[in-house]
Amino acid sequence: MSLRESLATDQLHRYRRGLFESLSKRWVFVGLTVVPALAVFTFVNLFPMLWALAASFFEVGALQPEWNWVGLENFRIIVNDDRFWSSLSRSIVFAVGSVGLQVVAGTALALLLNRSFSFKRGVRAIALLPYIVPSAVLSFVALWMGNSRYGIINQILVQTGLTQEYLAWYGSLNLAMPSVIVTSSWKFTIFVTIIVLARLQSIPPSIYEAATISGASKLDRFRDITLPNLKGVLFIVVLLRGVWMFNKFDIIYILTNGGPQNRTMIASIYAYRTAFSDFNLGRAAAVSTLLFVLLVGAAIVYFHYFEPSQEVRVE
Amino acid sequence: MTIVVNSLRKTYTAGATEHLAVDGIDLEIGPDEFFTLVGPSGCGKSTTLRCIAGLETPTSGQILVDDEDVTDTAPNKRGLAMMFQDIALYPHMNVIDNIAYPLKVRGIDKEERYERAREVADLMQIPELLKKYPGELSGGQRQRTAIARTIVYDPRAFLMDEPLSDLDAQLKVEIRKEIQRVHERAEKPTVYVTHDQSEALSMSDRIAVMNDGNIMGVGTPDELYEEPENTFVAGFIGNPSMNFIPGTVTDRSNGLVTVEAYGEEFELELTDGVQEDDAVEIGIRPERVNVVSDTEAGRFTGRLELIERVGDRRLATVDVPDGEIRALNLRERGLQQGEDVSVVFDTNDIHLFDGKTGDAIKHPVTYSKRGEAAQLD
Repeated sequence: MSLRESLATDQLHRYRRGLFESLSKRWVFVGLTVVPALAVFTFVNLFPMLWALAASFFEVGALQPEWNWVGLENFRIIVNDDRFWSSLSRSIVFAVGSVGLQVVAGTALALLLNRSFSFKRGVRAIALLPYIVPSAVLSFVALWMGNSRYGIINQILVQTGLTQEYLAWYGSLNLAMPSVIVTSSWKFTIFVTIIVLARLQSIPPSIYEAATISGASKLDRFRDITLPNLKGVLFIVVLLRGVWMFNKFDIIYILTNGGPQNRTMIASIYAYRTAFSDFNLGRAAAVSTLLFVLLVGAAIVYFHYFEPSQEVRVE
Repeated sequence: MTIVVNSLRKTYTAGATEHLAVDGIDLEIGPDEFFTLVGPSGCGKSTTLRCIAGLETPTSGQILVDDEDVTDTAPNKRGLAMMFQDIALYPHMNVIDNIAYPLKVRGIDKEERYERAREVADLMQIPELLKKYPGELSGGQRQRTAIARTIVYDPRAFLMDEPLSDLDAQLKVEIRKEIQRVHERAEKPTVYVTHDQSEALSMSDRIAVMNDGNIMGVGTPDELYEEPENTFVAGFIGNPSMNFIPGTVTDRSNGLVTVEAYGEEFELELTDGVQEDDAVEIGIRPERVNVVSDTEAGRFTGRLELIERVGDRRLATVDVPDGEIRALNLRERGLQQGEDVSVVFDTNDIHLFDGKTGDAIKHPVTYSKRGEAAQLD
């Protein structure tokens, strides 16, 4: 190695060492890891939130640039609008129904996947599929499957004799809400499954064996070992899925657009219509702000009532 | 109360290959016997225990508890109690609920089961821990809780799967005593699994030594130590393990058999069992072997490779032509590592094994009968 080469290598080493040292500095590390996430959060979440909060006190037209201060007028109009309250109650029905379905079906699927059987991996992959598919794609697939004239679901039901005639799943007054609940649960059940399965697999098998030997039946073991161990994650899952389903917009917008006859017009659709059909951005912002406050209030009550710090026991 | 195992066989299939875990074994465990299954890891001892418990289903064979065939009985209906290597307390229940759990699944109401849990907690000297969670207990306290959980109901037998192997030496001794106290109190059969032969020797009424899914020998600790059935049992029981020296029978006459090994001749009192030219194996326990620096004095000479302390004794390892010999009966002071020494032992202390099958041919007259054991130094 020539002198020049060795000098060059030396320099390279020095350069690399310098890079490592500067990367190891606390503020550099913090900056590189936290700042990008913080920036995205600020621009995508925080600013729109503050914007909506501010806008809720103004009259903001979609087609005019100036904001007119109206104080609490937007809120007064909303709370006196029956459509808001009925949409809110539909949101609650949708959130409770779909979270309930997701938690029960997701936990059941996790319990199934926690056992060993053939094609387990295949089943797991298939179950994961709806979660990876974009909501819009899944919604259109669901629309075709539930089509009232040639949908595969109707065909199967009629051919097996479970129903007499083809049903308009997303188009009839009584079926629309259950249908959107089932469709959205189809997508998000696996979320519950993934989290519950992770917890299930961390329960040592010898605990089940100890319980078995000392006389516990399958039901005893589920009630006394599985469920208490799942309490903590189910708490988090219900909270997260509850918030997300309460705010759900895309799937319902595509499946029913709030119809038929507003039967599936949940609060987020109501806010959307206020903004983009009535072109009243200020009032839509007020709806969003109200929903936000309601959710925060519900979350506080939830935490207070269930005391997760005591329920979530970590060994 | 008894446990009987008849030609128990257990195989596992992993993909295309079949793995034999237990190869048709028979056991009979008496009413209040402390019975230990001992052997190297993978010998099938835990599988056997788990078959008795019902946690594994035998491929074939039969398990009887109190003359009742429980082979197809669900594990929660067998009325047994089991302790596990990882203790397996329920992490989300406090100590009293852990102890009372077997009573809960038997439908006993809360007041009574707490009452009984308190009684056994007193017995295990952990009454002050009842409100604590397993995560807050020390290793010994967890073991005591686990024992309490097995005796709170009246099981037909106790099964223990290496319950002491995760404990430190001092705690081992302490919990070992507790287990024996519980066993004596309950007067029920206990089946204990361990890989530690000294644990087996010190606790058991009888021991079965297992290897490769087979039982190599069954007997009391004394029987296994003094009259091992074959070279496997002889080598596994006793620490440090027995020395084996390969030899050949060169002569048989007048009730004496001459065996040649490493160029040395040994005359043993033996009338039958071997023919001339048979390959044999001489076994001699290190406790019976002495090493002296006078190279003319002993049977074999070799280099003193290593001297180490084992408890209150010194263990010498001597390199001999075809292997090494360990000696634990050292009398001479000042032996130096690396010097040439000779190995001394009494021909009367020799065990003789068949060179091909490994089966025992002759054992020394038992030490206890000769009244010599106490004179070892």
